[in-house]
Amino acid sequence: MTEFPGPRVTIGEGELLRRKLDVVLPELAGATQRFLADPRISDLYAEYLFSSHCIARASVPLMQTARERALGMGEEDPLGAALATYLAGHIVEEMGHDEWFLEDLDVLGWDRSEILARPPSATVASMVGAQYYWVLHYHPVALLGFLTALESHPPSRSLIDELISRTGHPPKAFRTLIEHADLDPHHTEELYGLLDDLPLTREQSTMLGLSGIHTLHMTAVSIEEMVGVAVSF
Amino acid sequence: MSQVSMEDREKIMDVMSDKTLRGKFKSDPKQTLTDAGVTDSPEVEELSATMAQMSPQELEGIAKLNKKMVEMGMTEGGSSHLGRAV
Repeated sequence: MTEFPGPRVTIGEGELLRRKLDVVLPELAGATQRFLADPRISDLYAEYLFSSHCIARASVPLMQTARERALGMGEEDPLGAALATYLAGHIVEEMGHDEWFLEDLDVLGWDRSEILARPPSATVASMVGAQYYWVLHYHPVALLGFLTALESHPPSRSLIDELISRTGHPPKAFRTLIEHADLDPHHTEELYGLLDDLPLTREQSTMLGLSGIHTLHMTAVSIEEMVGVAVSF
Repeated sequence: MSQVSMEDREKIMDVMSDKTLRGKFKSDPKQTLTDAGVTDSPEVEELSATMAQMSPQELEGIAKLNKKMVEMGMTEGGSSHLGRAV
């Protein structure tokens, strides 16, 4: 049993998770600065889209797996029904977003069949694969840490404008990022509201933190790999 | 909150990782942090309150990331994040 000598939380779980994620944001900020300063940024942007597609194409199947697991927990688990209801709605919202990345890559001249044939990196597999482990072998609520980490930190409009300027690519190649800069704040509010309403145990609260922190860490590592400051394979 | 210096982050983590100091923090947060040499600010207050809610497992991960950030020469957080739009 994990020991928690500190005071019990007096803020909502959504706010607590936001604060936990804030603690690790400097790592992602550092990776972003390196990415923006890299003279190969035009090519790196395409790589960023490719790895984003690898994550996006896994997100709906991952949520479906979590939903099935949540439904299977029955009435004995106080989180199962609420989690399954939320995921059912979010699955619909996220469907087809992987296709957007393919269309953006098409603008940059990338061949769809080659994208789909290329093996995803171990870092992407670790980011998504960890969620499968936690969902199937701990509790599907873990996935909310992953979703919150991703939904609450999309590239901002100002960063997208900077990317357009620095890469020299047409704005059409940034459609997915632009759409998400508009959509994700709404999704984040929904998630925070859900988290505040769930009767989480302290251990489940920790699980959310670990899941979100791991997701942001892997996001940073995947960018560091592109700019060559982390080992990739 | 990400604007807290790496040095202060490490000191706060030392407090939260020590059972006795964490207990002292619970009863008198400001004095405990002052005794630990942390410069008081609203950002420090929020960060320390957040870390006080973290489990040892989470703190251990944060400590490793903090060490990495120090080694990479980062002094504070930036405002741009190339997250994943999925």
